[in-house]
Amino acid sequence: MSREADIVFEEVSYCYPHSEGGNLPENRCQGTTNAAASTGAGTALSEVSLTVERGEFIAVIGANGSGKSTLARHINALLLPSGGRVLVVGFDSSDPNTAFTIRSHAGMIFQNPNTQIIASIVADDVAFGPENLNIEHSELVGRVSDALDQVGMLPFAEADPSQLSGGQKQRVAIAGILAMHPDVLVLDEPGAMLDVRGRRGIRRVVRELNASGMTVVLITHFMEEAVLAKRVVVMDGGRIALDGQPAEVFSDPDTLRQLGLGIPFSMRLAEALIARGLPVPQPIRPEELKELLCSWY
Amino acid sequence: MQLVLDRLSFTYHSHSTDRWALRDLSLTIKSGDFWGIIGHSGSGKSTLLQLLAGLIQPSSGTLCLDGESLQSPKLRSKLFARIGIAFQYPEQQLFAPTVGEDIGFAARNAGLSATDCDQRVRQAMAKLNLDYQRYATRSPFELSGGEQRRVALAGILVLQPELLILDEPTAGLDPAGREHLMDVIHDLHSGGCSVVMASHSMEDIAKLANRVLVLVEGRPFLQGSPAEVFRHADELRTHNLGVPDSESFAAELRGLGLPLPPSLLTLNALADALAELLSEQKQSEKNI
Repeated sequence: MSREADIVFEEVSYCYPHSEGGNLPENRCQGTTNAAASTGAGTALSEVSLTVERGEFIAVIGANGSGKSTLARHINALLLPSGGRVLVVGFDSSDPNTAFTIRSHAGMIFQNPNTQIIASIVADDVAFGPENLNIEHSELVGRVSDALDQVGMLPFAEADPSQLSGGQKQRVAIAGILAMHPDVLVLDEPGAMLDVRGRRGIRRVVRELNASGMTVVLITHFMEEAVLAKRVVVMDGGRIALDGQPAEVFSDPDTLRQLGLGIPFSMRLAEALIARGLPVPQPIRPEELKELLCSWY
Repeated sequence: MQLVLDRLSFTYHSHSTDRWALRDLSLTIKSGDFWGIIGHSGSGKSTLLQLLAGLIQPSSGTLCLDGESLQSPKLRSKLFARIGIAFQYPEQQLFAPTVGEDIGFAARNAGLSATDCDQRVRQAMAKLNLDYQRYATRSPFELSGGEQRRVALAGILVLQPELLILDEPTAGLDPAGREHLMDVIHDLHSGGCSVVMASHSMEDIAKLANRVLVLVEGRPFLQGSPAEVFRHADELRTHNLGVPDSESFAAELRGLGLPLPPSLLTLNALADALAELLSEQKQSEKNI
């Protein structure tokens, strides 16, 4: 079998039904033509084309309302495109028979860890997904402990999830996905409700999973998380505004500001130093800036 | 106003006294203060904020507002009019069909006349950079996350509190929304409102607060001006708490031999110090 791309978006448009309080005419967002997609005020995605290869780690960033979460929800068929086509590990999401197949290949983690835990024991919660896939008991037990081990939560297998911290709950939620042996992991701002320590734990787990071959799509507001990815996609007004390696995407502070994004610390400092008459080049990474400043002293 | 906490403790487990959510905290909040509260989830931050707002009662110790203990329920109801609290994700509490009605809810409940209410709503919206014409008649539910957050805060300011308590006010906002809200909070404080703000962002705290409290496992760990608190970088690090980006970058530069002054807590402070140091250097080079 050829190694095809895990995720393919072909000119995908999406419009939330009943947006603008339901005043939006139905037909306004259903067409696949340019006009329909670009004029609708409720359009969350406009002709987005994107290919994510197997084993890639991409970060998706953008301002609130730029379409990041809508994009994420198309990857496991929670939302179906109004126009265009989404293929996940080769399956077309618009075919109603493939939704479950797609979801067993592509798992999703949401912002709030509390809304994703359903059982009263950690191990039971992790078992819920694979149980629904009719995995045999003996294999199920192995999958659950492997998954908990991967996220560093094996010692808590018998714990009550409500006694865990937000970061630990989020890792249990990830284990619940891993136990289904997916190819793709989609995380929609997994750290938004966590403290620094919780976020760090999630970051480490995500990096390790990607290193072991998992395709990862990470939606985030945190620029220091985005630079972990090998590729950064910037969303703006339902379209892809930038797509490239972190160094390329973070090259121009003015563009980043226009897109409503944060600017990495070293670049903000460089800006402040330029304003004070010091000839610092942009973009600059922290290490380069340190070296430069020391060479001047 | 002055809020004095004296050896305040709180436990959620009234029958056992071995698990304290907050232990032996003494603190004085004066008019015009801006307190930044730092600590991990579970460190007692939210418990402290609820105690300050009179929503829960201390298990031991006292809490006094302008010299009067808040043990009596009568005084507590007075407290509610003077102290406004915004929980995490306050926009989840929006409920009215229009922005104007939602913001005016507390004012109507307080028995203000329709004209006064309207006046208060306009003032609160202006403070949060929400244009009255543009927003007042819209549904709060069709606004962006950042706009909703500001509507929710306006609903608290409508009672014109003397002290504003904020629990992670910028969580979940995008960088532009975060920066905007920080500016708004800065202006509120400059306008005379005292603030207590819990935040995971050392940058926000360094930028806005003039007093900092660090909580570790329910106990006060450090307390003082930002410069005093962030001087203890190593101790903070042992508890997995950081210092602002500017100061940790400055510390690395000091390690590489640049003689920078201590406590460079904001980007501008660091940039100023670097500019001064490096232009001095150029001057002395010229002299040689």
